[in-house]
Amino acid sequence: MSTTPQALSDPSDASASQKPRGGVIDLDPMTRVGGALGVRVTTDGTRITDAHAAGNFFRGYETLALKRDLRDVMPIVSRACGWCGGAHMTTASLALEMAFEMRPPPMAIGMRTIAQATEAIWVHAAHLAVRAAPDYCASVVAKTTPRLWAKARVAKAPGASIHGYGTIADLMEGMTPLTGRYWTETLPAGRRVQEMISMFYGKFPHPSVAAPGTVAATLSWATFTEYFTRLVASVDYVKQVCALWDDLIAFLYEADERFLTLGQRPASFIHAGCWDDVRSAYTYEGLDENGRARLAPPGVMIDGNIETRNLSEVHAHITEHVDHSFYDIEVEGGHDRRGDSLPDGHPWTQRNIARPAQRDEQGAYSWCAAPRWGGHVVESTPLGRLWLTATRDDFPTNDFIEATGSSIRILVPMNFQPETIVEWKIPERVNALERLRADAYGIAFAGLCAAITLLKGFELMRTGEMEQSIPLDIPEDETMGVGLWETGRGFNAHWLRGDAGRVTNYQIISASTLNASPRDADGRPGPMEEALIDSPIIEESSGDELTGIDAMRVIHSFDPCMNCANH
Amino acid sequence: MADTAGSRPSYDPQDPFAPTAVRSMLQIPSPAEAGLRMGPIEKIYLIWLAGGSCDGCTVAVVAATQPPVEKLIAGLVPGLPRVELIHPGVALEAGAAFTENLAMAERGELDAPYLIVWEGSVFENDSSGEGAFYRLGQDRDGRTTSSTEWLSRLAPNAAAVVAIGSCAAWGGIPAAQGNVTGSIGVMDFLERDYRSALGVPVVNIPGCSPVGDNFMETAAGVLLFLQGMGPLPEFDELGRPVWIFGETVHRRCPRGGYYEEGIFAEAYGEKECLVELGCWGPVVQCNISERGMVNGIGGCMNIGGICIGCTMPGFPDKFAPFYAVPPGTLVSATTSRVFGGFTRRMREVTQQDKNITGRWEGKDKPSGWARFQSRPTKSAKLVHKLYRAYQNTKIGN
Ligand code: SF4
Ligand code: SF4
Repeated sequence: MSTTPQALSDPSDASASQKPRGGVIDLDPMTRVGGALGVRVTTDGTRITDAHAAGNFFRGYETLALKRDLRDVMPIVSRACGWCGGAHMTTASLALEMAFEMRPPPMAIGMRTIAQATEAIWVHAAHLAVRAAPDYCASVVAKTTPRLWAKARVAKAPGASIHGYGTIADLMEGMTPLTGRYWTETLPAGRRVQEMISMFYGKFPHPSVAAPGTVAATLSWATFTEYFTRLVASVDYVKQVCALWDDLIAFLYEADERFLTLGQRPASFIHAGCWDDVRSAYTYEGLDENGRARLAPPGVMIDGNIETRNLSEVHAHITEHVDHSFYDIEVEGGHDRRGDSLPDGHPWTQRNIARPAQRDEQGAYSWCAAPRWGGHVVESTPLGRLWLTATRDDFPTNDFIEATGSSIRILVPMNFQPETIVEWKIPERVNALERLRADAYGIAFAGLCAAITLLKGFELMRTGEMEQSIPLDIPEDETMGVGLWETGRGFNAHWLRGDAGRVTNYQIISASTLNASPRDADGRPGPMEEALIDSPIIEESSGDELTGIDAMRVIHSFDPCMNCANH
Repeated sequence: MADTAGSRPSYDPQDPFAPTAVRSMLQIPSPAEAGLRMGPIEKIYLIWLAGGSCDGCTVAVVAATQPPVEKLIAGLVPGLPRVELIHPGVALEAGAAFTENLAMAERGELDAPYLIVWEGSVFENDSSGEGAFYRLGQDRDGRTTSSTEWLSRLAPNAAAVVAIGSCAAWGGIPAAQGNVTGSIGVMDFLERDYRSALGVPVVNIPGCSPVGDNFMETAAGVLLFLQGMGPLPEFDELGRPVWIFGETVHRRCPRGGYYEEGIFAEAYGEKECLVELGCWGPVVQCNISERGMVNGIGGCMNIGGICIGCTMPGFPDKFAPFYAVPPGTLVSATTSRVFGGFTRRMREVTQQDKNITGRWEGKDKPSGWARFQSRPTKSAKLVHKLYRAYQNTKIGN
């Protein structure tokens, strides 16, 4: 990747001749992430030359699940993450549904989809405002890139009539943590979303309304109407967030084209898909069919080419490496549910044993393991989700969302602001800003996926299909299950083995396990490390040491959540 | 940002990446904020640290509205000091600049008192400079520090230590069967004799996750007390706020009426009492059935979830397997089925009577919605007569 330091070649600027100082920037602890992360980057002053991302903590959720009643994995394992506990609970439920061979009724699946899409709204919105936006706030931009700040002060924001910020500088003021308008408006907006989640889950985080195969909320008209009024009350926020990030990103690309390559890496993604159709059935044999019916589709893309859209293949080629992580591996079993053999390192065939040690970048340096797909380094972010959605030709017919092949058109209904079609287009490259843009449009996508399913819920109510649960039949002999699902951030999977109604092995891989992974067996960096390495240093030097803002922007674009990642 | 051994780093308070505490010292209260000042304390630092956490308590506190966090940190809650939040989840600064906040607190360099709020279990054996289950920055000599060590270093001079969530309070899930990290609760870690600088033992706000407002309300209560305005909040023998955790969740459960009348849900999603699906509510100290989860919305059994005892020191192992019926239920539920069943039938009879005005007597139907006037049976009529007679006697009044 070559960088064109356009701003530096601007002769009118005297400070351009000063070269930023190279060296090591130690972002440990890294702030504004989920859980504990430490990132160390090396720079030569114009670009990042090396990077190591270290998961800094570990609780042992895979071990905590062992020997428990199979049904209890839902409330136990979902508590690994306080941001997306509902997604972990759903993933655990899917693993159990496969193991128990149960088929939840349509209303249960519908409620799960609504609750899960709503949880994704919360994760995207909170991430953008609380974690990512401060990297672009006025004081940071003015301090680290005075020339960019000067441009921002005179740059009109094209979306002012939607988001209310007259200039880009106003918008950057709004991004100030704790006091900025974007920050302080997101908290109440997010609270409304938390209310919506609590209507289905009773509690958020950590849903209390759960049992295998169902969201056990007692449904009434009030559930749907109270949900619906809040969803409608949220649509203007969605329009504003899309417009706000579009304006910021357009300005940054225009003002300094090095932003194009900030955090760039190949378009290689893995997604398990999520948000089931109410009529779907989740079985090992039927994974592909189930995946196709999901609103957010599964698939693997390597270097921009779609390798597969079959959920079974997404699953079959996953391996997990611990060569640079604080674990030992114990191998057990080499077969899947059907008795077919699995590749070495597949999560169904092994367990990780914690082995705490000093951080050593040549050896082990992270509590995060390194999952790969068919040997490829793959990321899982909202960007991949939207990309796989835009390019599918089988998006279910509906009133709000259209996949055009190169974009997703989302109709966001009227509230105080008029009905708006927001359109997310496949970007030319995978970089830090495009990840954030996908987060913003991800709010609209998730919100309208919830709306689509809400209409199906009304339909089920009309036809009287109100059944929410079916009796459990817990197998007494050996059993296996895998839950393949997504959190707001991306891929999430739980592998379960049980015997005599008890858990004998439990393995978890989440989006952040993939994204924040350390080097693998072949020494290849994880996606976040890869995105950091060769990324430009845009920060202008004033003779001080670098603050590391460029690295922070890349790291936050992945919304790393080490709770999920290290578990 | 690198820190050279021995030297004290210097930070520019105008630098957005300087430690929060350094920047805070320059901050002049806004006129709105100054106008709301009422007590002796203008500002307090809230240092939020974590061990075996999931961030869920943080997420729960974001949902709180009594008061909302954005008002508290802006100093806009009348009577309360401005809360200067030092939280890795929101801090602008990273790396050494973030840990410098902690070092300043330890060296006594903050310009206001500090509270510690701890989320997650404490990894008891995590020692700095070695492999640790939670690494949190480095000391000036480059030695890796663990979050456990920071708790040891900061607790003695903290105004108070608040353990938020069941993991911090009791150990919670990381400390349950399968605990490979040496997880324990804060109270156990700091030991029984621990007193904060203000003489308070560890305050516990349990729950997995807790209700955000339970934390906010307690924090606001303590701050109001320190301002010389509110009474000293009352805590029980386990350091829990009494007004929050003094009652069982069953006593204020919206399904309590079903329990009393002996009607129980048989499947998830049904509207009746959940005890036979495994609800532990009758013995669990929690207020979620009354307060809800977010802004009064949600709550476990309010929505349909059994109580799995997530606020209790015995959580999770003493409540697992969660989906089995609690043993005591056999006795209590059978009793309420028998007596409640009788009471319910009597109530149905009375309710029917009260659904008819005197003017409708003798009409064939009361409204366009009804197909016929429901008429009390002979025995019901007799019951009503007796009941009315009783209502009008002295004893009845
Ligand atoms: S649902 Fe639980 S808390 Fe509510 S009445 Fe029944 S037993 Fe009590
Ligand atoms: S009702 Fe039970 S499960 Fe729900 S929050 Fe209270 S203690 Fe936890």
